[in-house]
This record gives sequence, structure tokens and C-alpha cells, in this order.
Amino acid sequence: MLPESISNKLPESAKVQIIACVSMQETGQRTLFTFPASIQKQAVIVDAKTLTPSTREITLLTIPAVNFDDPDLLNEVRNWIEEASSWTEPASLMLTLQGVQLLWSPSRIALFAEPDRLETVQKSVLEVTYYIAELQCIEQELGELWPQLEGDTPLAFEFTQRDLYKHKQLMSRYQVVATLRARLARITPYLLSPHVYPPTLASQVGERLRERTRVDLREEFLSDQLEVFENVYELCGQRSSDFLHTRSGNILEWTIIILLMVQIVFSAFELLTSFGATNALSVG
Amino acid sequence: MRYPSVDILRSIAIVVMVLVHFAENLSGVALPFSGLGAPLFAILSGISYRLWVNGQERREVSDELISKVSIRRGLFVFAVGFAFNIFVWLPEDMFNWDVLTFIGFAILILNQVRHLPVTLVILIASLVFLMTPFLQAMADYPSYWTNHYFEVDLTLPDVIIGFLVTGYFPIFPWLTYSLVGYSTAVLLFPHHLSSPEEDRPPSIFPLLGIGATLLIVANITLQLRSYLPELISKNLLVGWTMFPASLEYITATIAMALLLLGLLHHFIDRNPALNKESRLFHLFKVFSRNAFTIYLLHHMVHLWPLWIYGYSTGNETTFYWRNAMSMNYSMPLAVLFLVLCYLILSRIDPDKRYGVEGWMRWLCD
Repeated sequence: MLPESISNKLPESAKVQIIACVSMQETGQRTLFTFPASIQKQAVIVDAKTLTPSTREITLLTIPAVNFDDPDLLNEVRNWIEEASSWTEPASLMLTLQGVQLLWSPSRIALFAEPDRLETVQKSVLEVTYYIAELQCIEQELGELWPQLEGDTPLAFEFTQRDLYKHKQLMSRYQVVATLRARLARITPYLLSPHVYPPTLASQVGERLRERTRVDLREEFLSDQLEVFENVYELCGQRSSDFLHTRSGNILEWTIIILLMVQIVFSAFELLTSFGATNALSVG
Repeated sequence: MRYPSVDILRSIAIVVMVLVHFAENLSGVALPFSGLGAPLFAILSGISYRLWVNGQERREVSDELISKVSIRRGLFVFAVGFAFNIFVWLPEDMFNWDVLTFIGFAILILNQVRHLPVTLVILIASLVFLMTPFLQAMADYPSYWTNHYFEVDLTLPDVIIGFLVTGYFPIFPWLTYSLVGYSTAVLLFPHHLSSPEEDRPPSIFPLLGIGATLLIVANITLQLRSYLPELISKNLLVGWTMFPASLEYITATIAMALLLLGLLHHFIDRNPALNKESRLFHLFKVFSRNAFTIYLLHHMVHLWPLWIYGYSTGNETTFYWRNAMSMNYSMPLAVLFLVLCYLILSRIDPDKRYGVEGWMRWLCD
């Protein structure tokens, strides 16, 4: 998990923990932090062996030390953090505040702090990390939906018989967008919450981290993008539903027309056969 | 998109027709499977039309152009049908309303119904089916079939009655087949299948279920006919007859077509392990692709010599019709014709305009 080149140089009290944010805590898992009620998650320490590919985990390296000053080691730790980072530019962040040093990426974190402050700072960092990771996840999922949106946009204007097969597809896509909006709405109060007063070291680290990751702007952009998706899919839903309503009305109207036509065919045919009979008689 | 199941069914239909026509027209013998080719052909006209429309829609051809081409194609087949009646069955049979005039008209109707929801198409097919015995009774069907073939006075009412009810392949009830074929294709081969990733092909079990139910119903009505009141057994359920096409006959032949299509589609079209480029499938493709041409050719090949020989011996042109030779000769001749057809047609580039299908595409598309 942690390269030996790093672990050998770290003090013995340094710890590496794998943390997952779960809805249901399993027996034996230690809770590090309980999120607010609307999030319904807990940050728990998990065993590396029990991890599944779908688990979004955070690897947290905590080092009880003040103003750690070993540039080589810091570089190595930074490299280790950036290895797993899904960010491109910058791949990691470095934050120094009142003796606390934080090397951060959404999936790997190294935290250097005084032993008595480590726990509170760690909680704050974990909380903010979860929100940022969730924001990033929503951004990513929404980003993948753009080509679909472009394909579906014409349906916001006109829905025809040919598009009928897309009805269910549009419904599920609207659900996906609505789910993303709900996920964003759940974390927004924590992403954009005002600074705590009086400030603490832990709250300041969290706030600084939010500032450095520009969550306020990202949330705003994401919200705007979601609005575009919602507009298009709401219109699509409206058009398809209008079409289906009209169609069922049309079926009824056509059924009546067809039945009237049956009656007309019988009457016309009766007339035709009577002409035939008259002709036959006149020829005879 | 080409479906081997449709190719196989069309090949079966054309082979059955060739054998039946050679046997009937040369030897006067009705084969046990006579009367099965034409319904299959009519159902396939509906299926093929829907598949063609699917292809056009996938290529984003405008609705207006699809309509124009459909109408041109319908009129082309209708006109070829008339030319066929005149030149093959001789001018006095111009208004015998053979299968080509029917298919031409059916294409015109299918072009109209393609805008309707499939439930309405099924409703129209059912009504055409149910109206038929009443119209046949109103028209006094047997009076047009006194010598076991259709004879019509050249008066406008009789010609129209022949077209609608009493001819060889009148609109009532034969339109039922085309509409059933069309509806089946809408449900079984939806035009969007190739695009959306989450789409699964429709299940064939409803189709098989409907086919099996219709087969059982047809069997029951055939068995129960003798126990039914005379009013029903003489006018409504008249037994297994193709001329007039009885309700039992239509039900059973639709059932046969649906079952065959369902099974072939399941075991062949949806079987990725099957090599669709094999020689056998090539044979079906050749027959299917040139079915229209083969239909015209086989009549010319066996009827024209008959007429010429009859005329040259000083008899009526139709003198040898149905008594030219025994089955020992007519059947091998039919097989020889089919073999020659395959050998010639398989060597012809399908894109070249040698067959009637090519002329139709050149003129109408």
C-alpha cells in the first residue's frame, strides 16, 4: 500500500488507513466520522482485503509531526499521492497551516499534524474530501451524458411515431439527471457552507481545502449544466407524453372511422352487387 | 437489413408456387401443398414492405419520399400484374385479379397504414377477415366460379366485384395477409433495433403463441363444421377452400406463416453460430431476391409453349391447359426450371437491372 521507501523513513507512530464512506457500518468497522443526517454516511476504516472495485475509498496517511521538513520524503509522499490521483492538473494539492501539512488528492491524503490535533483535522479533511469526491463524481457522470443529450435534443422540439421506442430511454435518462441533481443538492450546503466562527484549526483546514479545490465555482457550473439537462429532458418528457396522449385519442377516433368505413363498404358493395344484378338482367 | 428467415420463407413460397403451377397447369393435378404458397407470399409482401420502410427510415429518407416510392412501386407491381394477365393468361383474363395486382394494391394500402399504430392495423386486418364471408355471400361468389375458375363479364360492377371479393386474389380477404405480415414485422423487426444499446430484440414467444392458437382454432372449426347449423357451415365456415378463401383456410395459413417465421427467426436469424454466408443461405437469398422474376418467368416458361402448341395444332389456345402431360414429366420440368433459375440468377449481379426487381428499383426508387 505504502512503498517501503516511504514507510522506512516515517516515524513509527505514522499510520496508513483505508477509509470508506458507507451507508451501513459493518460489524468490526471503526467509525472515524459520522456525516450530517442528510448525507446518511459514515467514514469507517476498512480492511484492504474486503475492498471491491466499486468501493470509493480514501487512503489516509497520518504522521504525528510538526513542520515536517524532509524535502525528499515530502516529494516521495507527493508522488505516492499523485499516483492514484484522478486529477490531471494539478494532480495533488499541498496545504500548510499552523503546523499542519496536508498533501491531498481525492483518493490519497497525507496529513502531518501535532498528535493532539491530528484527530480533529483528520475528521475535517475526511468530510471535505468526501464532498469534493462526490462533486467530482457528479461532474464525471454528467460529462459522460453530453453526447446522449445532443442526440436527444431534437426530441425536445418534436416527438414522432419513429421516436416512440425512445420513450422509456428518455424516462430513464431523466431519472439519471434527477438523481444527479439530488446528489448535488445533498452536498451543496456542506460545499458552500459559510466559514465557521470562531474558527478552529480543523475548520480552517477544511475551508482552505474547499477554497483550493474551487468548489463554489464548480458547484455553480455543475448546477448550470444540470439545468440544461433538466430543461431538455423535461421538454422531451412533455413532448413524448403529449404524443402518447394524442395517439391514444387518435386510435379511438380511427377505430370509429374504420367501423364507419366497414359500414360504408357493406352499403357500397350492396349497391355494387345490385348494379351487377341489374346489368345481368338487362343483358339477359 | 436482410433476414435469412424471410429469404427462406420467400424461397419456400416461390418453390411451392412453381411446383403447384406446373402440376396444375400442365397435368391438372392439385398437389397436397397447393394453396400454401400464395398466402405465404402475401404475408411476406407485408413483412418485406415493413422491412423496406425500416431500411429507409434508418437511412433517414423523408416520409414524403418513402410514400412516393411506395406508390410508384405499388403501381408498378399493379401494372405488371395487368401486363402479366394479358400476356400470360391472354387478354380475356385481363381482369382475373391475380396475385400481382393484389400485391400492387396491397403496397398502396400498406403505405397508408404505416402511419397508423399497429393496433389499428391489426383491427383493419381482423375486420377485412371477418367481413369476407358476408361480402362473398352478398356477391354470390359461386356464380363467378362455375367451371372451377374465375369468369367475369366485362362490366364495371363485375370487374370491381372481382377485384374486391370474387377474383383469384381479391382484396377481401387477401389484404388480411399483407396487414398481418406488416404488423408482424412491426412487432418482430423494430426499426430501431440496431441503435440503442439497451434494446433487446422482441421475444418470439407471443408470435409463436398466436400462431399456435390460430392453428388450434382453425383445426377446431374444421372439425366442428359438420356439427354446426347449416347457416354457419354453408356461409361462414365453409371448410378448407382457397377459392373462396375460407375463414379456416385464412386462419390456418396465417398460423403456419407466423409459426414458421417465429421459429426460423429464433433459430436462424438470432443464431450467431450459424454461417449466414454458406451456400445454402446463398441459394435462399438468390430465390428470395428474384422471387418476382421467377414468378413471372415460370408462368411464361410453362404456359406460353402450351398456348403456342394448342394454337399451332389448330385447337383453342387453352386446349392443352391442365392436360398437357402427366406428373412424371411436369414435376421434373418444374425442378429443372428451378435449378436453371438458380444457376442463371446466382451468376447475375443483383445490382444490374436484369430482373423485374431491378426494373422496379430503377423506375420507382
